[in-house]
Amino acid sequence: MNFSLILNLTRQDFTDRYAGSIFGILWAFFHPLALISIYLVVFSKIMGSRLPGNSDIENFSVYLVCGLLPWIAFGNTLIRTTSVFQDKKHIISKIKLNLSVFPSYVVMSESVTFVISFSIFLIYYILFLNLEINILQFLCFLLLFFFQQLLAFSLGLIFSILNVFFRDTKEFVAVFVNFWFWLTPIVWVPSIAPQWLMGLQNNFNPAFWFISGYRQLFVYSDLMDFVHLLFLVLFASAMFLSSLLCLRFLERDIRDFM
Amino acid sequence: MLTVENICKGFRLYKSPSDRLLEIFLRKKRHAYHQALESIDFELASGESLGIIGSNGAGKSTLLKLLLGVLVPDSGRIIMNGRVTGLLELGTGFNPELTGYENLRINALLLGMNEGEIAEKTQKIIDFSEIGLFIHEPLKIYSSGMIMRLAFSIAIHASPDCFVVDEALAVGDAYFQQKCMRKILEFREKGVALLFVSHDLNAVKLLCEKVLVLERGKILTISEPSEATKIYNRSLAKVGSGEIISRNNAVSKGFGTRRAELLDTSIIGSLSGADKISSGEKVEIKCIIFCSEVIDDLVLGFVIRDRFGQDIFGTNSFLMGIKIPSCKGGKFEAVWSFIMNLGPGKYTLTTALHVGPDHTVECLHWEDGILEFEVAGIIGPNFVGLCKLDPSLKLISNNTNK
Repeated sequence: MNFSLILNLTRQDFTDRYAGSIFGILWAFFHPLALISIYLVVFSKIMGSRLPGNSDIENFSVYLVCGLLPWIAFGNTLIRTTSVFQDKKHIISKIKLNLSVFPSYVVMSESVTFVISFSIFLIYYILFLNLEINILQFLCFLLLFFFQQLLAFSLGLIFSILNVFFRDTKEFVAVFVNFWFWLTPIVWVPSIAPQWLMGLQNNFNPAFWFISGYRQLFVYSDLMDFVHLLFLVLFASAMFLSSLLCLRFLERDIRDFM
Repeated sequence: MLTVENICKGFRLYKSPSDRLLEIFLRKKRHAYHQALESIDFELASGESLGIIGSNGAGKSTLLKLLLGVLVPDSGRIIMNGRVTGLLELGTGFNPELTGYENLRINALLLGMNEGEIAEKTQKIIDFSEIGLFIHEPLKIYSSGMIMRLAFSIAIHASPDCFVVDEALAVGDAYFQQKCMRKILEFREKGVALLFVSHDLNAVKLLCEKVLVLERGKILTISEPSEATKIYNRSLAKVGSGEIISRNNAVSKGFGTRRAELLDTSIIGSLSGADKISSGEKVEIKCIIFCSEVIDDLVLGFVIRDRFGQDIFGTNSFLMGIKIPSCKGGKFEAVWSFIMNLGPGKYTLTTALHVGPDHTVECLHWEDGILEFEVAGIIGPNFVGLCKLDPSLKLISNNTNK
């Protein structure tokens, strides 16, 4: 694994995407900012969503942001990783490189975007809402984010392998991520969902595991639910291993097919 | 340095992606199989240079990709000590929006250099490419020659242990090409192994000590260049026999009064047995002539022209002082034989039958460019230019200040 190559590909990814535009990398933040404002207006102002036992709109905004920002990082990683082999075909078919370099740089690139936008949120959180987090909570946050992105990497790698053979995968993943987004309590509050749906979330939705984790940390200023964290760690590690095995078994076919 | 042990490579060809999906689920074969390479075995030591030649589809690119590690063989092993750099990857990952310098860094990393190496070599690369201050401008304003020069400079400075060169060498102007060639030769002296893939037999002969001839995925021979080119030429002849070598009169045009006709013309090298001829090889031009009546002063001639249409050599039986007897309804064969002392290149052959010293009296049958042939490779000492003059060299020492 060549770390400086991944870093440089990440850097190139940013320059690629925003080359020639005036606002450049700022677009990476305008985009989530716009989403947050829209959801805030629609769900909080118009539909009157509030957290149970709390009628504060600021509280709902914190709830929204610490669900939405991680999800954007997760979803974008997944979608962009899926087509990464196709996008980088010109390199793969000419230079011998470890194939996992490519999903890695996507994960890296989306994580950087997340770290910057989330830092802005944290500044807002600490300075304007006068809330604080302790070191332990912060470590939990890092752990959570690491496993979230590990999961995104693994799922993305599996999808990207499939996408080499079946181009439909890319379209499927886009639809799939959209469904996943609305089925997970990111912009809506769990209290409006039927009992059975929340039961499913608890047991089968990895996105819910990490998003509820962030909320425990930032909305309820608590440590997170360790059952969810354990689920996440186990699931992400299992997926990570299987994705690497998948890559190993299919590497020859992937290269042939390029 | 490089050992290739019995590698095989085949490709499964699916008509559509859905066939692939169905095959997985139904476990029934839904593909055609193409064996691209079969039991390839060879070795390459440090400082050695190996040329790989073969016609289109012989498996050259597949072999290169296997050696570069871009493809994985089905069976067999490739053992490689050290870094392989290929000119296949010329300019891979170049981004027109970034500056030359940023592209240089990315490309160098892709080729496997580390940060320290890049820092050390950046200036050398820029100097070699002769791009100058343009290095800080975005790549999109570069001319295509500048991009190629930059790409080549990076590849050449990756200090490979094995250097893989293909047709990509034919980039840039003659000056830069020669600069690259010198650098490659310098590499060879330093002990870098060289793999050279080309259609250009002359370049292969110039650069390589051994040549591997591929035909339909199999090694035809690995031998010294002149032997290998001969075998290659012969293998080509098999492919196109009857079609390239001779053209029947019935289909060709030509002009003239046709009182006598050229039925068939062919050119054959004595070693290759084909229309690929090495410089210095003995050749025969064979013409079959049909006379419908008795013609006095019948003259047969030929002209060889180069690819620009310039007459290189021409003669006829009148000039040679040979009288051709003719009879009514007679068919006979005329054979010219000579040593092909022309320089490498592509030529055409024109044959003619006329009355009198040249075709202005009566042209019986004139066939412009009746066939093409190629002079490739040189037997004996190398030379440049159109023709081989075979000079001798005597050194005379006048030791006046003894």
